[in-house]
Parts: sequence; structure tokens; C-alpha cells
Amino acid sequence: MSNETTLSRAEWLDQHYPEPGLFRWIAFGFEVIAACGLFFLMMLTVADVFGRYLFNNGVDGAFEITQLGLAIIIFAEMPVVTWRGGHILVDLLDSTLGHKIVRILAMFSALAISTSFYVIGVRIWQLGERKLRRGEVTEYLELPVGYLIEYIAVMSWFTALGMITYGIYRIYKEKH
Amino acid sequence: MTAVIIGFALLIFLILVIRMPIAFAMAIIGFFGFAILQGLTLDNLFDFRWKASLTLASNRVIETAQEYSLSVVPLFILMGNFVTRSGLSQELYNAAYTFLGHRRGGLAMSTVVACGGFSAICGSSLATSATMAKVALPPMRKFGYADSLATASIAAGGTLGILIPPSVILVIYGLLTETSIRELFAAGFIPGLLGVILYMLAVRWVVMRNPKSGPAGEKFTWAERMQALKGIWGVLLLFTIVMGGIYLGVFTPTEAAGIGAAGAFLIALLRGQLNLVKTYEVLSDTVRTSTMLFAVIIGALIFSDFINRAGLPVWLLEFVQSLDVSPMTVIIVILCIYILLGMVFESLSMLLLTVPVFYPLVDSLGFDLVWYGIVVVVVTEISLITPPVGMNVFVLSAVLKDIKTGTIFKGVTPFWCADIVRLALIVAFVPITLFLPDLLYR
Repeated sequence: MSNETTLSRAEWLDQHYPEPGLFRWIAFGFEVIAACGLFFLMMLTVADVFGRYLFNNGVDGAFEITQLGLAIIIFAEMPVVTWRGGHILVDLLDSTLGHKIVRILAMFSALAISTSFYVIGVRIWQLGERKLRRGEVTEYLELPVGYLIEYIAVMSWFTALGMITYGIYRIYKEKH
Repeated sequence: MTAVIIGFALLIFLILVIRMPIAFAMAIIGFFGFAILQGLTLDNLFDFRWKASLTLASNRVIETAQEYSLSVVPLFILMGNFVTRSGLSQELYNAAYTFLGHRRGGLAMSTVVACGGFSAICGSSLATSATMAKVALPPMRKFGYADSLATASIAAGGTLGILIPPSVILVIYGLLTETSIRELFAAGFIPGLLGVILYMLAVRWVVMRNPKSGPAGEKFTWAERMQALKGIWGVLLLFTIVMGGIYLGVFTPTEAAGIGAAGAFLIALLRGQLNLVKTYEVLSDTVRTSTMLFAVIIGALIFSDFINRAGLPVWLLEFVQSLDVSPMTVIIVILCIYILLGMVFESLSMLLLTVPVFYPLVDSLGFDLVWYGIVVVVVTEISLITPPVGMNVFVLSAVLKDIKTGTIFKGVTPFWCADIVRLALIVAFVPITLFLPDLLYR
């Protein structure tokens, strides 16, 4: 643990955010949002449970806020995890296939993933708009559902964009 | 049915040969498969109405991302990560060591017990192995343990992480099969303890055959043992509150996970292991793992929409009934399929690929889905230490750079046999699994 504390700020950033230029700050920004969201979710649950058992009064709409928070966390992180190649894959045949083929296959996957996120994002956005038009709100807090869905759509597009730019670049640069 | 078979073949091809991330391979095959069931052919590729398939997939994304019951996933992972950071694994090991260390093979037994204890607050097998490796290996080396026994006890002990509650995999199984997470957590407890006991017997067997592989350590007085137990009160308290709360119905699993994460955060904070940067690292690490898991879950759900729509579960049931074999034979065949798949697939993806296919069949054959969940998780544990792709072994050899995977796999064999014995016991004696859930909830 001691060597971690002696890292300078620049070294820490290089270690945790190896992305170049703008991408580093976007990744950092998204992760800060996701991390704060998770911490908030944890504290919310604690407050809700303690409120209910000690003061007979839980946090209003904790259930809905949890659902909302979960979606925000997961999709804030989705672009970063995806463009870093953080999704589970089976690399059993890597040594048989050789670096070149593995790289080409990785690029193919990157394109397929990017396209999927873009296409699904379009439909998600439409569904979000429809919910806004119909004025659908959540049960208890009466929050408009559509905005959250549009957020998921926008983050899907971010994921698609990040994958086809930095994601491809990373695969190209990656040393085996 | 041809669509499903081609779908599966393509899926395996995408995952193994094209090495596409499993989440996306499942989602893409599921999406196009569903479109084909809707009437997509090569002729109408360009004027096909994609809307139905797209909406189905989109709704899966939207709903899963907001699924309340899945909020336990990031929170339990967070709890495990805070505990890992807090350095409690050392105390756990010490406590187990003062009780068992003086026996032959005692350090390896302590490792197994400490792994079991760590599993009780951490829902991941890989994390359990990686964490315990750092504290358990140095003392075993000091006493001259054989590398094979030392590392295998960590790799095998680590697999308990996904069985002893809280377990991330059980939560996902519960979501896929609409089984109660509380009952699954209750059901995993005794099979987990059984695992600890059988692993200890495996250690004993190894040292009986070759006493040099695991010499005895120091002996401690009861006063010293009590002193060591004091070091782990935090873990015990956390486990009691979290699992006790779930078992007694005081909390929902999500609430327990939130409380557990906050408790682990406090423990790590009080032990001086956290500052702002380290807290952030733990949080962002948790979020990354969770996002990856959510992607796989969404992919699996889209894929299972396709196979359900195509009627695979019904077809499978009719097929099995036409064979006129006993239900137990079916289970044994399924388990053999799992062990074969486990050689190639990583644990979570194996579970997500197979559970949607098999659970309707298992259910209609009259088996209990809670029991089946535990059976599946135990098979998955076995896959974690089965060559050639035993993830736990790989993680361990990544942490301990000077040890070859071959050495670990060699040492793991007795533990693997212990696992098979445990699997047989759990399959043959249903009450091992269902005693606690029956007692608590039914």
C-alpha cells in the first residue's frame, strides 16, 4: 500500500487513466460521476434503513432513487469500460491465432460493438421521447421517466463514439 | 428449432474464434435470432421492419439498468472491495492459523478456513483467491510447504466465494430464474461449510501421502487463540448483521448490501486504510466490475428472449420426455455438460448461457430451482479450478508470478475430487441445500 501513497498526481493519473488527451478527462469525469453515484446509493440505503427502524420514517422514494441511481452509475461507466476493452471475452485461442489476427478480430468486434450501441441508442432515444410525450412519471416521486431513458441513449452513443475512436486506437497500439 | 441450433453454433463461434466479448455476442445473436423469428430472411433484409426486435432489445437495456433487485450487485461488490482494502484478510488468516496451524497441513487448512470466512463477506471467487494469496502464501513458504499444496489450497478455497453468501452469481441466477435471493443465500450456506470441511480433508489426504508437503506450524495457547479471534470481530459482526438481517427478514437483500458496504467502509476507515483517493479507487473499481456484469446480464437476457421465443425450453422438455429416462439421469447429463463447458468457458458466461436453457426443463421435471441454483454454482466452482481454463488458477499465477499454472493445477487435483464428492452429496441429498431455506421461509 505504501508505494501507492507516494505516487504523484501525474503518475496516479497515468496509471489509472492511460487514455490520451481529451479522452482521459472524459473517462475521469464519467468515473467520478459513477463513483459518487455508488457512494450516494450506499448512504441512501443506510439512511433509509436507519430512518425506518429508528424514527419510523424511511427516505421517501428510496426505491425509485435506487433504480434511477443504478441506471446512472452503470451507463456513466459503460463508455469507459467498453473502450478500454473491459468486457469479458474468451481468449483461449489467442496464442494459436497470433497477434495480427487477434488484432484484426478485436477491431471487428469493436466495430460490431460500436454499431450495436449506436443502433440500440437510436431506438432507446425514441422510446424515451415517447414516454416524455405521454408524460409518464415514476410512481411515487413523479419524476419524468423519459429523461432517464434519453440519458441511457446518449451514453450509448458516447460508448459507440468512444469505441470507434479511442477503442480502435487502443487496439491498434496495444502490444502483446 | 434450426434457428436455435444455428444461433448456438454462431454464438460459440463468435465467442471462441472471433473472440467477441460474450455480452455482445449474446446480444447480437439474440437480436438477429429474434428478427429471424419475426420473419427476417435474406430477401427482405432491407425492407424488414426492425422495430419489434429493436424495441425488445431496447427495453431489456432500459429495464435491466433500472432493476431494483440488481442493485445488490454493485453494493455487495463494494462491500467485498472495502473489506479487501481494509487488510482484514490477514487477521482472518491469523485467527484460523492459531487454531489449526499446529497440525500437519495445518497452514493449508487455515487457508481454506480463512477463504471460507472471507467468502462470507465477499461475493467473488477471483477476489477471494487474489486476496488470500497475499496473506496465506508467505507463511506456508516459511514452513516449507510444497508450492503445489500451498497454491492449490488458495485456488480451491477461493472458489467458495461464489457459494457462501453473499454471492454475486447467486443474485444473477435468482434474477434469471425468478427465484428468491433470500432463499438462495440461505441455501448456499451449508454446502459452503461442507466445501470447507471436504477441502480440509483433501489437505489431510495430501499430507498423509506426503508428510513433507505440509509440515506442522507452531502451537498456540487458548489465550492466544482468543486474542486472535478479537482481530476478526469486525468481519463476524458484519457477516452477522448482513446475513442475519437477510435471513431473519429484517432487510431486503439490497438494504443488507447497502448496510454491509457502509459497514465495510467504516471498518476500512477506522483501520486507517482509506483516504479520499483510495476510497475513490475502491468505488471506481467496483463500478467497472458492476458495469461489466450488467453488460453480460443484458446480453444474456436478450439471448434468452430469442431462445424462449423459439421454443427451445418446450422442445427440450419434449425431447427429454420422449427419451423416457429418469429425471436424475437428466440432471447428471446436464452436470456433465457443465463440467465440459467449464473447461472452456469463464464461470459467469457459462452460467448465463446455460441457465436460461436448462432451468425450465429442470423446473418441469419437478426439481426445486433453489436447489438447482446451488448445484449449478457448485459446478461453476469446479470449473474455476478445472484445466485448461481455470480462472482461479490463472488469477493466482498472475498474482504469484514465480509459480507456473501447471504446478497449481497439479496440486488442485485432490481438491477437485473433493468438489466432485461434494457435488454428488448435494445432488443426492437435497436437504443439505434446502434445510435452511425450509427452516427459515417455507
